[in-house]
Amino acid sequence: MSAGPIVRRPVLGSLRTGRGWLYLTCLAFAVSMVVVALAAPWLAPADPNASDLGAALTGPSPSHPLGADAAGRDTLSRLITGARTSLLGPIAVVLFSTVAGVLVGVAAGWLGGWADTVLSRAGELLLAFPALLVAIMFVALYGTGLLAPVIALSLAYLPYVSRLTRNLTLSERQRPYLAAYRVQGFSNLTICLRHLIPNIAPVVLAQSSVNFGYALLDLSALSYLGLGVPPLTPGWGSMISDGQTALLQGHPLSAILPCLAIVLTVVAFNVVAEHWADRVSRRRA
Amino acid sequence: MTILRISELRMRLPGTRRPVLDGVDLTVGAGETVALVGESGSGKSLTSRTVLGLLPPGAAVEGTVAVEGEDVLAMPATRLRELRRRTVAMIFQDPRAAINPLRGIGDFLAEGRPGSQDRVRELVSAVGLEHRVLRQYPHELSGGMLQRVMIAAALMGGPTLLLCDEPTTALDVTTQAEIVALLASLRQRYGTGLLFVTHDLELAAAIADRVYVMYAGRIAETGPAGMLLSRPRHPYTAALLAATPRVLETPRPRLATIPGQPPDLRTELAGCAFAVRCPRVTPVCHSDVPEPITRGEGVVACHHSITGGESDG
Amino acid sequence: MAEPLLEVSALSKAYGSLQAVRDVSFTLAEGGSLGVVGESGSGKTTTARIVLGLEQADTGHVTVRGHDRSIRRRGRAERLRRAREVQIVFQDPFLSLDPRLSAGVVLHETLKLHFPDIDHARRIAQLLGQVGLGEREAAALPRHLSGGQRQRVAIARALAVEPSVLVLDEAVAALDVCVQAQILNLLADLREQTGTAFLFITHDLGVVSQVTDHLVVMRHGEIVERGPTARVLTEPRHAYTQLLLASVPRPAGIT
Repeated sequence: MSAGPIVRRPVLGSLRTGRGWLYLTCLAFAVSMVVVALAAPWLAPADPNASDLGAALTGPSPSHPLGADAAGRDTLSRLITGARTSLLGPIAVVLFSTVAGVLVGVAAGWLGGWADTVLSRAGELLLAFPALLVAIMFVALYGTGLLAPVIALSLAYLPYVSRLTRNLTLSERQRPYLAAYRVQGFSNLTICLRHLIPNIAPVVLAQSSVNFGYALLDLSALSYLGLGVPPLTPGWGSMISDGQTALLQGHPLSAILPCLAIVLTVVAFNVVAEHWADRVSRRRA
Repeated sequence: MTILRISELRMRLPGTRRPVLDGVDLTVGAGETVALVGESGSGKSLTSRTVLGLLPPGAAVEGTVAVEGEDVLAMPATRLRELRRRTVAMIFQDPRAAINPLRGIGDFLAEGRPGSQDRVRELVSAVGLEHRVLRQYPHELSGGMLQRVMIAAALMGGPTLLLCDEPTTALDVTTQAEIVALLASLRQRYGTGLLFVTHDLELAAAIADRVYVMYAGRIAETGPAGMLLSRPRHPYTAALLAATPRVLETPRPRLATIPGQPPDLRTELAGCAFAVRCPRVTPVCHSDVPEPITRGEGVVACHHSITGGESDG
Repeated sequence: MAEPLLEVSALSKAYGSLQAVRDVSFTLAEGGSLGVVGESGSGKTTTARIVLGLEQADTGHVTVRGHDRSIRRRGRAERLRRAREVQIVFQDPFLSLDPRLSAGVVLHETLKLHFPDIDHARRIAQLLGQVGLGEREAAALPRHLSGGQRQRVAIARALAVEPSVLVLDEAVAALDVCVQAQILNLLADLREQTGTAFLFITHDLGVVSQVTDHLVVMRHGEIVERGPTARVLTEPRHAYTQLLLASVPRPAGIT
């Protein structure tokens, strides 16, 4: 079928994910990150905000396995607790953008006519704004905290989902089984919810999981700029910015580790998502 | 002279329990039109594709497919390309899927054959099109016209054998009749042998000199077209004819049907492939594979073939 | 003749500059069987889609038992009423069923919508029996069924609504000859048992000859000939009908 292709932004999208071991490793890593984030309060060996000034800017030691930052806070505990904010944000973005994007896309594709025109043009308008700028504007308007950037990024990612959903809806609409349900007297709402959406869901979910990695990158960039994470909550992005001084003083661990965490998590989620997307498109071909 | 001789062709595909082609014997003489008839899954298209050396992935093949005496299955790749370019050509069911939509018809026909402009013009006239189609694009032509273009393209290399895989199935009835008439006239003019693959027994009989009826990877029956239709020997051929709805003055109240379905590729066959559905079945049909027997002008692979009027029948 | 069950009068429909259907009128009697024959572009499918309510005609009316269904109206009662007037079986058995749902689930959905108060399990078993499917097929997903079995499911789904008219849009064209014969026989039986009227949209004159009483021949959006099937097929009056008949492949030497 001629569904709109899943949007894969460059670099990571070109990774060959056909190899089983790479996919399995990344899947294991992604799952363990989620587990770490969920169990953070129990896993973290120390209070992530407690400063142990005596240990400031030290390397790994028995009491601080990955060292401590310039303020003497335990890097391992901050990484583990930071996983929460760093994963929760993107998950919320994916959730919001998927639900809203599917609603908009199905409405545009199913209703057609002026509804389609209005919704599609609005989506294109949103696509024209860089996601990060929209997010910074929202934070400036509604203050720091996770909610404003999450809503901003959800809006920015919505058109990717809605455009795909609209194309899938248009091509699925051609299939006679949907016409048969109309002739049978089912309402449009029932047909869309019970038959159309479940049948296009695999492709949409694959796109959403591709979006996850990008949302993680965007949110970490915001948190690096000091936006989007409430003070005293550790996030990987803010850890990098906090660690810059430590970096200059020759103790790079507290800045490099969150970088590594971001990169590895994004790569892992993307490899998994690409693998799903490939599988879905092969199944539908 | 025989231009195509398929003998004892056997093909196994991965993950199956019985050969998908099981001892197919078929010949096409020079300038002869032969039809290969079967339902979906009978192996008719696989057989015709083998003639071009096109095998499905993982296929294990035995037997010979000789084109002008040379075995296609044993050919090196360079020789195979030469064969596809000059000796054997193929036309497909959906002409729109087989043509590049962005190239003009003239370009498409002359592709890879520099200096062939005169030949292109000659063939375009021969298939009943005007020369201005050479300047047109695929989307400007109807399905029937495109199929004519495909036939002209197939004839470019001056093939001795033309394979037609359901070439009229996607076309309207009136267009189908035109294409069939065209193929018949081209055969007269160029002396090309024709292997016509179709699911439609009556169409096969209308176009071909001889007809092969295929069932579950085996040739059930073969014979002259008229004879096959008026005096089918194999119960399967008879059942196919009885099941075809026809334009009749007094319609039959019901069509005769065959119970059951063709055998699955995942089950092994001990005896005749048609045994479980056959009205003339006896125990021997389940245990022994019927050998092809000559009956009159035809050959039938059946333990209990329907006897006709001939003395040797 | 009694008042017709389905009456199509003066339908016209244009897509841009293309006149797909022009002034098409015909009637279908209670329990009758009408064939609409034509080639691609003849407007037969557009006509069927208008009768079904999947397209709106520019002008003209479609009435079933005097109830005009060509007016745009909203509401659940009207939707269900129209569904019980006309049902459809499509050509492609591979695309006409939701790939995720088994036959049993499909029938249950339809019955729940139209007949919420009856014993669904019993009616499903009865419908499946009518179309010759067993419990195994009822539980299987479409991809595990053959083309013929899928078409039986589609027929059962249409019959579940107990429609007055069943539209068959090339419903046997994609099937192998043997399966096609089984489905045509099944349809003949169902017509006898249920009294449902059939509207056959097809290009196949053999099929039309087998299953219809009356015939209209369409070309370029217009009806060029109409009459009892046997008469049209044996003494065609319009040149186009004659051409169609002459194009049916007929082996030399056999008449």
